[in-house]
Amino acid sequence: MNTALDTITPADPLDPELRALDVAVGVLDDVARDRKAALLASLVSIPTEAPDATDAPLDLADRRDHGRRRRPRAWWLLPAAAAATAVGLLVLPGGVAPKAYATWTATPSPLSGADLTLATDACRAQLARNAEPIEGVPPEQQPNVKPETARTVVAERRGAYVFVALRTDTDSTASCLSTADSPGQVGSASGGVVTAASSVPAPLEPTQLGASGMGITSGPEGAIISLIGRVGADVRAVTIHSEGATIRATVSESYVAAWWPTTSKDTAEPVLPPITTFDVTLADGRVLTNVDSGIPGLTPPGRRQINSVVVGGGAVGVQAVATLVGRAGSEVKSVRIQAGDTVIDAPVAAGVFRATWDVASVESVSSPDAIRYTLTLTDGTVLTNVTPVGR
Amino acid sequence: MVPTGQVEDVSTPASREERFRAVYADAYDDVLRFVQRRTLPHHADDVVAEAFLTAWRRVADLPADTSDARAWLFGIARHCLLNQRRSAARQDAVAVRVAENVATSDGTFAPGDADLIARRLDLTTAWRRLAPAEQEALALTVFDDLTSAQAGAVLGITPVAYRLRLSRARGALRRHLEGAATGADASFEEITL
Repeated sequence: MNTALDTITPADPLDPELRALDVAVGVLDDVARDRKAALLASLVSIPTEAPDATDAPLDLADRRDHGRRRRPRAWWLLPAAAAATAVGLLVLPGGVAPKAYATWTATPSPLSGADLTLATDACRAQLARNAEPIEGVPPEQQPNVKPETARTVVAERRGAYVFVALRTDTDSTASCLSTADSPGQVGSASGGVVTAASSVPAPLEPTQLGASGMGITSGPEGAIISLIGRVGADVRAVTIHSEGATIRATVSESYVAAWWPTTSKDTAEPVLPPITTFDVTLADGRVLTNVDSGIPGLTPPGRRQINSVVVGGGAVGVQAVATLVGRAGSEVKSVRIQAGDTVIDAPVAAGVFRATWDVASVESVSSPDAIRYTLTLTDGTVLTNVTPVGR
Repeated sequence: MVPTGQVEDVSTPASREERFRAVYADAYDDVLRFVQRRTLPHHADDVVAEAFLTAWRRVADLPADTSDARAWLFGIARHCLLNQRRSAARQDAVAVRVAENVATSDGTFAPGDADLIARRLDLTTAWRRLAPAEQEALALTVFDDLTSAQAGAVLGITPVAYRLRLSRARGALRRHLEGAATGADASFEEITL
């Protein structure tokens, strides 16, 4: 193939200078060499497809249809939370954080100019992607996003990271995190997708905080939590307390958003939101502490209650699985979870119960409403048909 | 039909595996670097694994020539990157990253280095102003060291079309660089051309 003509790609005086900017790692270290050997060993143990099947062209559209389920560690939360106005939709490959967000700042600075444009365009594309119909989901639960109506409601910079939050006329949202050197390349995204079945958000009192979503996603350097919501007319600032950090959110017009690194190791398992509290600063300077954020499950449940139930779906290899995690009160010893024909007894450890079970497909994961809970208390009492508490 | 480029017997599973192992040993590092330039560091290993999984499943298509096999793997890795980039689903080019923190090669600064640092910063800025398709065209030659036939194969275009794209990308980079150096608005310059 390498004829003389082929090889003549005219060199350019700039080429050596460009090569000095190459980000690729020159020589593999021990860890990378081990990974290289391990991957080869795992690959050649897989039977290759029959020769006639390999004639099919490498079709991107085909891969897009099936890629998600094939990826070994792609997890996402399903549209599920019926009580919330918007549902969680987190779509990102998992991954162990190689380093923390060293330059992250608890107080944001504004984002503007070309970086804002690039980040907004990329996030708009993300939002449009979230708007695509979901196969096998009834019409009233299909996304009603209207991505063409999206506008940027919050844009901020924290250290070497840029973050934008978009909202559409239907109150669907997307928030996207990028590194400052590639603002047009979304490194982490989350958002709320509104469906016809979603309830219309109630108007807010002047001093009220109405977060529409808070989600954990894997980010460029490990898991992050992002939050987006509305604020009442008198709210000028929102301060968030979570995992020992005090985070100043960006409040812009009537919207609020923020993101922060979380100690959650990985998003490859369903994760509970950490206990989180909110303070708001009003126009007259008053500060209201521990205000209701509008998001259920950020505070511990009562002694004989459960809350914060998160149901998700994902895949382990080619097996689709449903995942569930929730918080239980101090007197709850175990929780029996009944989802369709599946019954699982989940012990409570450190106030948390969790379960994972195989399902036919991720689309068939039950909504939290369709799951029945039976609590066994430490004194032996059994409480049947328990409903997780709202907030 | 006998593929003209394939001279080795790849008809038995054993010989296919042997051939794959040889190409893997030879090309893995380059495929990793190809991907590192085009995605965030923590995603690179996932993309490489996905690319080689695809390659293994399609081992019957593996080009016989080692250099062409490398380009073929780049093409698969690029598909994986395009596919992975859900946020940019409608894009048909993969942006290429360059160094963010510009320093001299040993990481230290000498008095005479200021110009070099400034020059590299300008070049970084100019690079980031390129469209993803322009970055891609340049990178395939400059970073990934492909011939125009191989680069064209990675992009699914003819060698002639690739050379044209490369030439335009070089022109664009130079204009952006001149814009950065003189403080002129490079994007304005581009529009008036």
